[in-house]
Amino acid sequence: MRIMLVDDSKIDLFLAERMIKLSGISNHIIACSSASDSLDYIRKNAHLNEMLPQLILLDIHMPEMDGFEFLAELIRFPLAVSQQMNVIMLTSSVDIKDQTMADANPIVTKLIKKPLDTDELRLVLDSLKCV
Amino acid sequence: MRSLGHDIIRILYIDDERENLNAFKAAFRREFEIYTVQSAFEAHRILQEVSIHVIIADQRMPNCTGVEFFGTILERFPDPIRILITGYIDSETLIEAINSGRIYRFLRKPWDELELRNTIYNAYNSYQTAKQLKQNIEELEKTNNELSRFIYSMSHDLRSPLMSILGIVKLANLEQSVTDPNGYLDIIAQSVHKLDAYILKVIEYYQNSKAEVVNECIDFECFVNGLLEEFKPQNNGINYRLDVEQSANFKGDHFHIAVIFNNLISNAVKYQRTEESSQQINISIKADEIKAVISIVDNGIGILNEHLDQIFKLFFRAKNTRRTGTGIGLYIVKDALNKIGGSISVQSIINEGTKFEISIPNRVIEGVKLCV
Repeated sequence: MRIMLVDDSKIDLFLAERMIKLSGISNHIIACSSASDSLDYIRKNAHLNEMLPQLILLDIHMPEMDGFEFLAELIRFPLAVSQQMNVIMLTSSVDIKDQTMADANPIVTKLIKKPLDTDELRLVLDSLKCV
Repeated sequence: MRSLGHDIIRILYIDDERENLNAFKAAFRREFEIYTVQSAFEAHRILQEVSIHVIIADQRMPNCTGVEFFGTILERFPDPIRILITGYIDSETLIEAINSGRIYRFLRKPWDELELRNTIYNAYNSYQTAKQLKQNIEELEKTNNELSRFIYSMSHDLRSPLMSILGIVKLANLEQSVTDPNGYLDIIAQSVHKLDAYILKVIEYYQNSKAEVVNECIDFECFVNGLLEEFKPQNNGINYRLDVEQSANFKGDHFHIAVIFNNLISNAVKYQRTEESSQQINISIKADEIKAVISIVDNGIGILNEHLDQIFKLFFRAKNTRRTGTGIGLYIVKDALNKIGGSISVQSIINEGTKFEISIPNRVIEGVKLCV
């Protein structure tokens, strides 16, 4: 599974990458330190299915463009591109508004809290396969 | 009495008779900045351009009365103080003047110069006081808002690196990449959790103070069981008992009521006696169409008598325990109860336990929609 990480914190990017690899969930990680880097990557590879991430782990509070603004951009891609990607929000925020907005967003599968717990991530991924 | 150090007082005088305007101007032009107009239309024009302090209007004018005129400007120009000059007044006009024109003073025609002057100065003082008060309220609201927003965003900003630390500790444990025979990593994790608990309380305090009260149906059995599920994994040694007698539909604010339960239960969990073999938390709820009476009883360490009236104060921490709290939890409980019109009382015996009793009003009567 190709997993893209979007987070402005270098430490959190490193952490998530390491944890996911260690847990055996995936070895194919695309790490982006900003929402616009991520969008650039998707734009560049929009026609290369095997390069596009199947899952995006998305931070919410980031400078320049936050997680929800990123989602608004993502939804503008052709369905063929945006529909094959699942988004899980990964945040340290306990803001009720963030939770509500994540719940309401059609692209977001779930919001999970930092620090990343790979068992929890695996559970969410399992539930995705069932759907 | 003339107040010192003020701006020049700007007066708008509206009267259809030119002689009256001229007489007024002649008497006061050295003291005040005076604008005289003969019609409501001109008056509006002046009010748009000049910041007027006091408006004087004659009651009897051909197209509209003074009271009517005041009624028309009230919404757009609420600040100037309004004085009505009238030769006679019937009770009808008087009522209308007070209710729809919000008149500051009536003056009899023909006016007495001394009386009018005093009235103008008093009106101006009143204008200044109102303006000052408005400014103060605005500033207070602004600083209050900024302060809570500051606390809120700071709490969030603090949390994010804290979660990184926790992640790194987790990773180090997972990789076994750090030689740590003395368990320092665990101590780091414990400290981080403690700090995080504090930050979460501060955030909860903010959310509690900002959250609007929304009344929804509550089935206490299901509601409290849901909350208890969160606590059970934290401490397996505690025996929970929930007793619910709900004889009527109950409406209340989910958020605030959950905040109250969560804080009281988490205290009951935290302040157990370690030597107690059957640690116990009993929750009983009796809800009827008027109110819900809830008691939360533990057999923990108890609260010192002299502390009982202080535990709801912000940042108060009891001294009979080494388990230091944040001093915020019970303050939030009290605050939440204030918001939903509830009350709380507490009884405690040292080394035997504590009983909190809460009363929350049922809002089902006020709601238009019925619970299903």
